[in-house]
Amino acid sequence: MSKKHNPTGLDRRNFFKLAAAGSLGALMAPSPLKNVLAQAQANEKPATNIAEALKFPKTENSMPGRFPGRVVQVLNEKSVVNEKPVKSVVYEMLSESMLQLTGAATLAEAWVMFVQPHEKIGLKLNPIGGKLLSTSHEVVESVIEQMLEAGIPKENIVLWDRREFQLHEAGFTPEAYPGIAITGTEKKDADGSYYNKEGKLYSEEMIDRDWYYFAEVEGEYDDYTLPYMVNGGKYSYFTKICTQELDKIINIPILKNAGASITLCLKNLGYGVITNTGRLHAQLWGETSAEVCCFPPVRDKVVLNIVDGLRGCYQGGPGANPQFICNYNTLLVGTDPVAVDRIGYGIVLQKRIEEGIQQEDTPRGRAFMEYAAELGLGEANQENIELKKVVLG
Amino acid sequence: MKLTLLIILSVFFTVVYAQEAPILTDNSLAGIENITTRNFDQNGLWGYINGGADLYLEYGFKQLAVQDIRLEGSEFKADIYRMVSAEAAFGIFSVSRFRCMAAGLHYYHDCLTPYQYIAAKGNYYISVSNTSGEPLDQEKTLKIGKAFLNKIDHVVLQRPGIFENKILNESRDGLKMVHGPLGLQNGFIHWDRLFTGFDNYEAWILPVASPENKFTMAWIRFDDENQLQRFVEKNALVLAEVSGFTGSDEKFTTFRTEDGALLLFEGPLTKATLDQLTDTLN
Repeated sequence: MSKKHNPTGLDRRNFFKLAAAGSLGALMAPSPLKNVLAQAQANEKPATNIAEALKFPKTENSMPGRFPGRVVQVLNEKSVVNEKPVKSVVYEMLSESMLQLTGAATLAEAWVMFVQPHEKIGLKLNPIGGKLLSTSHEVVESVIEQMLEAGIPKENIVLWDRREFQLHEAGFTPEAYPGIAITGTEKKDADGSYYNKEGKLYSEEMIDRDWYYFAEVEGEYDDYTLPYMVNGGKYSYFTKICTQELDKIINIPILKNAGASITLCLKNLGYGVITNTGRLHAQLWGETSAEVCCFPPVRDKVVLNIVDGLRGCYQGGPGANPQFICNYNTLLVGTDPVAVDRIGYGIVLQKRIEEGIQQEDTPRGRAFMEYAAELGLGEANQENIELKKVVLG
Repeated sequence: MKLTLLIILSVFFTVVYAQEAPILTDNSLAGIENITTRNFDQNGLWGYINGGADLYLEYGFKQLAVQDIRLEGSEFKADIYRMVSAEAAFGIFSVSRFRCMAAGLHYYHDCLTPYQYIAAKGNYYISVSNTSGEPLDQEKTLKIGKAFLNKIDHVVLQRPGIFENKILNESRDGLKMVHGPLGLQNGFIHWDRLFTGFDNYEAWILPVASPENKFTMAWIRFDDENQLQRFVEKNALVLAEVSGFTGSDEKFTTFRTEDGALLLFEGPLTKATLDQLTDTLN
């Protein structure tokens, strides 16, 4: 947690103590979790420091949040016209989502269940797909407007992602969002350089070496790649945006596939808040998505997930391949990232089957959600998810 | 001496070739303007598409040039991937191709969809995309694609001979080449379980659907015999003999080929079909 605001009472020294004491065998976890971790080891996966993350006591804000297992899906066929989301329709879809999720009488009441005027609130976007398939401005603008209406001051709202410059490329600029902070872990200066006058990466100042995800996989990067990874080795450091600068996080991913799986809430966080991720994809793709979310700076700060499914893709993700981009005309909202991912997965899977990409569900696609559920992050069993589906328009 | 000179020359030309990506300039096409180019080498692909890089790296990625192009008032993006081989370039193309409005327009392996033109030629996989999907922009997309292809030398694709058979003419556009889990997940997820736990293989997969035949066939080569045997055992496959084969309604029918690969069929297979197919191999 932030050194300024540390509800768990865990400072750097305590974290290192835990880390030094930590081994899978020493983990004082409930029996099923022991089995999960033992199973993970048995599968010959590289060892990670997930055991350390699980020692931090949960707080009232910890995932799966205020409404475990509840997901609201709002559809409106008129939400995208000529491949462009319609702001007024999106605003209404978001309003309905928030009211349905919380049961609040007013929209303002719904929002203050999650965020307060005195808090720094970060909207974690996903701009990887550039102008073609990034978190849409219509959703982001609607979230900002509704937070302002609920009394959150503009100066307490931050738009962020790993890469500040990708946010800019996707149109999230100071000109488009006056008064709203826009930041990223990986930065360039006005000349396009990743390095400051001392020859150090600007990103170095953005990472918090007190918080890390360790995995027994070596990251080795050339000079060209390093600015995108910040560091090599076996440690992935959490961004200060997450650990120090923000009190609350609202996660706004896009409804996209990743092979036969998806890249939604957990993936947007798991790979969006740490450095040195290149090494993790091959052997720990799903594990990283789940395990990074178990660390308090993520687990205890992400209070709401809003999946932008107005436009998404069913193949070719997580990049943006135009031929596979489609209009889902959907928003998915919930505090439980696993449940939201599970519903999103079903939507993408159905589309893939309709389009003839695949014929049936595959266990591989669901594995990371099931693991996240076993780690206590939320509900992965569709039968246990309370889905509120609303069709507007 | 001659041999030394030949080696030096071949290394020299290889280096020169590697440094010259087939990119467009302002003179490449009438009406082109404001080209910007970004280059990504090896792991640098992470910087461009992050997790999307995995698939390209699995196939064997060398270099990417990304060009933002303005042509006659429209915006286009071109991704020119240099892969380790023509087969790797075709592999990426094969799992990216989907519902082509038209194919074989500028090259044997190309595909046009409203927003995108993709092609594999030599060691290059190219993708040119527009933002509108309108017919006029599709035409320009094709024009840009052709300009790129003109800068790439033709290389014969080394695909297994069995796929040259004329009875596969109607299906051949569906041929996919995968050699890892991501290719499989992107290209033929239906066989994901079949290959789970295996790597170091090359599988050419073709769904065949005609009035006479409906099956999926694959030519699979493993790096070593142990892997092949393990694959056969794990999936409870029974190796059949071509000679004396009378037909099969089993889910899978499997043969060994003379070059040490596996020939795998899913779906009913008649003796007549097998005879026609194996003619190619003789």
